[in-house]
Amino acid sequence: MNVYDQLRHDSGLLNSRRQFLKSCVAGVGGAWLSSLGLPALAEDPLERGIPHFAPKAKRVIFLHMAGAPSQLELFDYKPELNRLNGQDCPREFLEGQNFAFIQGVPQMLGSQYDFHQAGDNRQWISDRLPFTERVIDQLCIIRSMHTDQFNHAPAQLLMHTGQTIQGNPSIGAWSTYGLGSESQNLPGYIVLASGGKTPSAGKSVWGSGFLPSVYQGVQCRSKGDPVMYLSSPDGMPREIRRKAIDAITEINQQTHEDLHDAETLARISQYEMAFRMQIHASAAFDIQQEPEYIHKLYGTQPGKESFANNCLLARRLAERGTRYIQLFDWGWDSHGAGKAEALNHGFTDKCRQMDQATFALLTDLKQRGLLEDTLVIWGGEFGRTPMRENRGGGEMKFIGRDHNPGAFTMWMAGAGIKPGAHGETDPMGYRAVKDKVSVHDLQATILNRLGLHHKKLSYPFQGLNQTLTPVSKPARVLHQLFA
Amino acid sequence: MPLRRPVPRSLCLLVLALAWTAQAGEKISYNEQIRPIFNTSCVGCHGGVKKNAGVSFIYREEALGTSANGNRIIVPGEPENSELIKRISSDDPRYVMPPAHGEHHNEPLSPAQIKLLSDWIRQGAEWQEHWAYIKPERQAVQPQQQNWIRTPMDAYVLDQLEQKALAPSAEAPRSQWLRRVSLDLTGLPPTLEERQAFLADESDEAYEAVVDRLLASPRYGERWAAMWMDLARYADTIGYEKDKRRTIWPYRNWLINAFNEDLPFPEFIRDQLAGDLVKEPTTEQLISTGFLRLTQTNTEGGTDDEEFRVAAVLDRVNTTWSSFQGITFGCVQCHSHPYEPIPHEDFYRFMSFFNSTEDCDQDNDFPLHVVAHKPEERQQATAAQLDLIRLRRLLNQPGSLELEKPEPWLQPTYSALKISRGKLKQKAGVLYTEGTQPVHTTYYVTLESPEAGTTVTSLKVTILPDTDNPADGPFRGAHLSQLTLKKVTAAGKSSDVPFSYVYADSVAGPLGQDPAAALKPSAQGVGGYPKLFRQRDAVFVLKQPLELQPGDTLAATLFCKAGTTGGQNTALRRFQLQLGSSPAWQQLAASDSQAQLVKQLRETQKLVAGFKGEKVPVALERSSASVRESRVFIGGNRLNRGEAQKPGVPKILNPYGAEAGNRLEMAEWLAHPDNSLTARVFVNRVFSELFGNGIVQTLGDFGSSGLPPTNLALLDHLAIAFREDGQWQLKSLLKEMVLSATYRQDHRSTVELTARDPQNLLLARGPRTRLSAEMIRDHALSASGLIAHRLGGPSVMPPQPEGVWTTVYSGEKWTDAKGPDRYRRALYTFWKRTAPYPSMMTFDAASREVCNIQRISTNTPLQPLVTLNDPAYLEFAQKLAKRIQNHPDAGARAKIAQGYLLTTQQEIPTPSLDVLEKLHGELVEDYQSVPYDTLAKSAEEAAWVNIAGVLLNIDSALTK
Repeated sequence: MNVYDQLRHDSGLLNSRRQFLKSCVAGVGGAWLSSLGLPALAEDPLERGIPHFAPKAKRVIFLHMAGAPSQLELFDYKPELNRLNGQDCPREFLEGQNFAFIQGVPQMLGSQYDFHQAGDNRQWISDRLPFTERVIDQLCIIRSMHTDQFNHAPAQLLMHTGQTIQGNPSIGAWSTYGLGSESQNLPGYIVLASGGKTPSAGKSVWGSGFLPSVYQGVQCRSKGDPVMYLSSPDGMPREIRRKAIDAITEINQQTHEDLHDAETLARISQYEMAFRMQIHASAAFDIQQEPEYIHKLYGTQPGKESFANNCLLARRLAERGTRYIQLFDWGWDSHGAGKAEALNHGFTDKCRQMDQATFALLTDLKQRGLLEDTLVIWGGEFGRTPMRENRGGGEMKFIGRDHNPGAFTMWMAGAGIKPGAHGETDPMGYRAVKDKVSVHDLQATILNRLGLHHKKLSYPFQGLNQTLTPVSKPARVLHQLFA
Repeated sequence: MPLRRPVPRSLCLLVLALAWTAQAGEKISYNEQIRPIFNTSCVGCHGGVKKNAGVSFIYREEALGTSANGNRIIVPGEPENSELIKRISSDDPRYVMPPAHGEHHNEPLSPAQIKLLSDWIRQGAEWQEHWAYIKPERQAVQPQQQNWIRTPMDAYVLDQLEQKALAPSAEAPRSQWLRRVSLDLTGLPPTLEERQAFLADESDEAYEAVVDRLLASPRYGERWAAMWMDLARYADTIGYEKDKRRTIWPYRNWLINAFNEDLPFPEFIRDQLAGDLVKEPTTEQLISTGFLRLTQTNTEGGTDDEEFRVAAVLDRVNTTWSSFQGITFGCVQCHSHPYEPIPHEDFYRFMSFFNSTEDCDQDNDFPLHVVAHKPEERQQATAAQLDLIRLRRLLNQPGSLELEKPEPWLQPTYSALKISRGKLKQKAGVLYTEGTQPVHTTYYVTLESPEAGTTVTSLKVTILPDTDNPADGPFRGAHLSQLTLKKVTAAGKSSDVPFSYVYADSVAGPLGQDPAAALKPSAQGVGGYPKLFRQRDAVFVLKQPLELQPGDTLAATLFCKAGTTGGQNTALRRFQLQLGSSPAWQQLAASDSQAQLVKQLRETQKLVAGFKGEKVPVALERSSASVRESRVFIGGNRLNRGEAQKPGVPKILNPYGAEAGNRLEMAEWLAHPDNSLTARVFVNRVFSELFGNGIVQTLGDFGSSGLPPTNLALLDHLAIAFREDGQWQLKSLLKEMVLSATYRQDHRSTVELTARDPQNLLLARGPRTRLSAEMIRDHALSASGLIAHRLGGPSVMPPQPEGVWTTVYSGEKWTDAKGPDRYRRALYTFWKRTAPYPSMMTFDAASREVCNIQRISTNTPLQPLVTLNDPAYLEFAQKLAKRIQNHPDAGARAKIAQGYLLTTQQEIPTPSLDVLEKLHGELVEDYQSVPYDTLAKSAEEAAWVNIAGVLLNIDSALTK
């Protein structure tokens, strides 16, 4: 039994038997079973904590551009919008709409950058993404994403937990709950943030919600200890720490022999695991071990907190069996209220930082044979308006766009995803109109790649069998994206 | 999701087992035998949410009715005529229930289940209320081993043990009980002196003396406040994206005092849910409403204040139900409860209790109450602030009454319409805007006199909702900050027309407390802010009646200066200006009583301004004239509004006289002796704190989807003991528990007993549980001697790693405390919702964004990393090492034994002593070559720091 199975077992003990039985009904959490000595139940493969069907992906790398990058400056080419640049926004776009900052009647804003077609599929892409263009034939670009949230925190929560309020498990938590981890020495769900800030919705976007807390994402840092408190204090080198842990184990064994408390045994194994993590996690996060050509490929600088470093770490973690690797890159909220968030300034810098690293990650995964069973996802929490932002009702110094839940672009690659394009927006790029993809559709599709069925992966809470995609908002698996 | 998955074999076995217990002729229990079948196999499609074919098994009258196809579903006494039995026993795959195919397919019922249902129908198909909705009653039990019993609860535990042929364990060694009871009651281990004194006093009264000492300790209130803070979702920040600081620690002070003073539970409920509604509330009673205000506030740019006000109100409903009633009321937000007999409307009737507080997701957390720094000023400051609200309402009252009279307002003709941005137009006497209005918008309207010779006494502004259907609302705010008026003669000569006062239809909202503010340039004024719920009227009273000459016109200028978060304007969009000629307005504004009230108001304002103190968010009810309408949200969606609802409590529980009409009556209803849940839910929670599991293990779900009680007689005894014998006071309940023979058992188990009852649900041994997140810290602080006790006060920032606080937009920094605040108890740690204190989170603390009903205790590898490596814990180990080294006995063995005593309060077993002595010897040797200067001053001391670390990490130190 690996340590995560052990953890499930421990949590299972603390869950009610009824909940436990219901989990079996739901088909997951099966690793609790064998440890509880209920062999009759373990006959059903659904209940062994293994996938519902043959998976295409062993792991997921989700590159979340927090703040929501503009689809109109990157992937969604709109000549009609360019033609209307500077004109008053037609009334039909404004009626019944909520905006964060736009007031009254704003003006249309054409794309700030040139587009051209690239790759075998002649896909439109802007000149901000020269590196991504080189791997464009590996991407399935979904231009018809839409959401129902127009503020960052709830939209990010929706993207990662399927709900707009805090307190629900994230997809990564659902994935490790359903499949466990493949790593003996590392957490199964790791979160890396760059851009100087964590996402708007805070740690809830990688929380475990009502699932046992062992399934929550572990935020690792690219500066300092990758896992909080991972290093032993100065003056306690490994051999001394080993002796201390051995003493703890021996005393705990004596306690167990005396008291027969099962938790004591679990504690012994956790101290062992902690010791192994201290050794292996540090190594996993040491990108200095990488050769020079890899650093060149990614544009990485060891010791710096950057999206590039996190992309390289993502590959290292993928190699080591981490199930769900979640990256957040802050700084894509291009309102134009200041230079750093202007489409004509800060946005260009963000593109440069993201473009090469993303290209490098895909290239690197591919050359190591990892891309075929790794699902890579790129995108933000919503899109941006084809109207120029007019905060306070007037013209602003810098150029920006407001939040737009009606349309945005995401792409997926690897894990049996067919490269190409999916969906379309209206001529303004304002609303998805053809082959629309909801956030819940995307989530159902991610689970599908992992071999999990979004209706079957459930957990009993508050009287209901809760799922990632809520019953009230049916989700579809996007089978047409599969090769 | 309804239960449609195949039923696992073990569940079938369970049901079979149940079937065996119901031998022929034996009365079948609906609750134990029938309801589980319905819940597992039927109500997914035929329950509170879906009633496919018009069939539901939630209420008896429905189940006994006819289906949409005209078949009688259950015919009491006649299983053969009951459609239910025909369906479940059918061989026809198109007819059988549960369906054999399709989306809703489910495992067929077993022959035993079918027989059980048939027999039950034959016996009359009697429904039983779910146990939790039936009032607790004391059951008589007569266990054999009477001499084991120490407190009344023991009889119920023993009775169950005897029925299961189990014997209680031996009594715990005194030191084991002392550690357990000290940690349970005060959250801290006993000091060595306390231990010594207890061991020396061999009398049996010594136990009670210890309990009395612990219950009287100020540390007691701190420990139990920490428990309640999870339910109250206590945090020092507002949550959501910006998650800024909020001053609400006085609520924590109140909580600690409430426990220390043993506030009876009904008062504990009342003060938190309705402290503002009692007669002349004290400062404490306002602070305690922080329980309601601990919801999150969203100040992210561009968010809709109403969306998050409603989210907070819904949270209050759910928190009230989870924490006081143990019912998952959240389901009912979207639809009728899938398992419980609670209809959808009940949620919104209950929501109505909370829907008319003044708070509305404002950036400044309005309304705030100044809690005077000086304790002697507090009650006076509170009374003065409440007077201010009362005086403002009194001042406005004559005007609002006058407004209700059918005065013939004169409709002037509008001309020369101008607006600073966008367009201002008119249609049928109503002015309306087009285009963009920014936050500062000015409107110019000329009013042509209806007829010359008219005497104008007043100007009425009517702010109209965007549509005439109230279910469309609330609408974007529409708020008038200031209005000025000029008279322009035919010759073009213009002169100011001064006003004396402004009356509004009601006084409410963050910018609408003082209608007369609309005469001044501030943003305060009249209208609907941040939302417009209905038509709003305000009357501007002219200082002198004005007789209009032929050709005179009136030029009104209206200023809208208010905006919501993110700079969204709340300018007027549809409004009307009318003239009044009644002399009553001048009489009102110039009356003696008005002058008297104005004088009082001025004095009170001055008085209030003089008090310096913390500004704390509190709940305050809007005036009765500005109550918000509550409607059902269809499908739980606040934008899809159904029927309007009056406040009320669910019918399933105890009725409240005529009907509970406000929060205060609702709080009284909760604490009414007829409420079957309140006492049970609370004693169950307390029980779980002490014994590791609740008698109902699902602390927040006493409904039929939760777990049944493991020992209902015990639960009901404790509920009644708490409510009646103990007068709703926690201390007496705790005393019964910790002095019981059950609690005094040894926690040593055997292989057999662990196998038989791994979770110790039957209590054949003493409880042994891991320390809570708070206790882990407090325990290590105590063992090291560093702990700094100070009762109450603002939150503190003990050391945490850099980079934990990197939330967007927050300029706030975590600065590691120096001095005593570095070593305060865990409950005082500054709690930021989006970045809670990491080492406590690792030990299952809750982030407290919403009510946390139950912590799931985990055992993970991240926990050892905290207690071994966190610099805070290293500091504790270093201090503990010093304590150990300073032990007068020079020998290593004696020092180790002393260290073990400090972290476990038990004598060290010899094998453990041997292990540590050996480790000590080796480490002293190792540090001859390993650098230690960051750790200690000498190799010897470095070895002790490691030993101290081990002693803080052993299982016996982390459990109680």
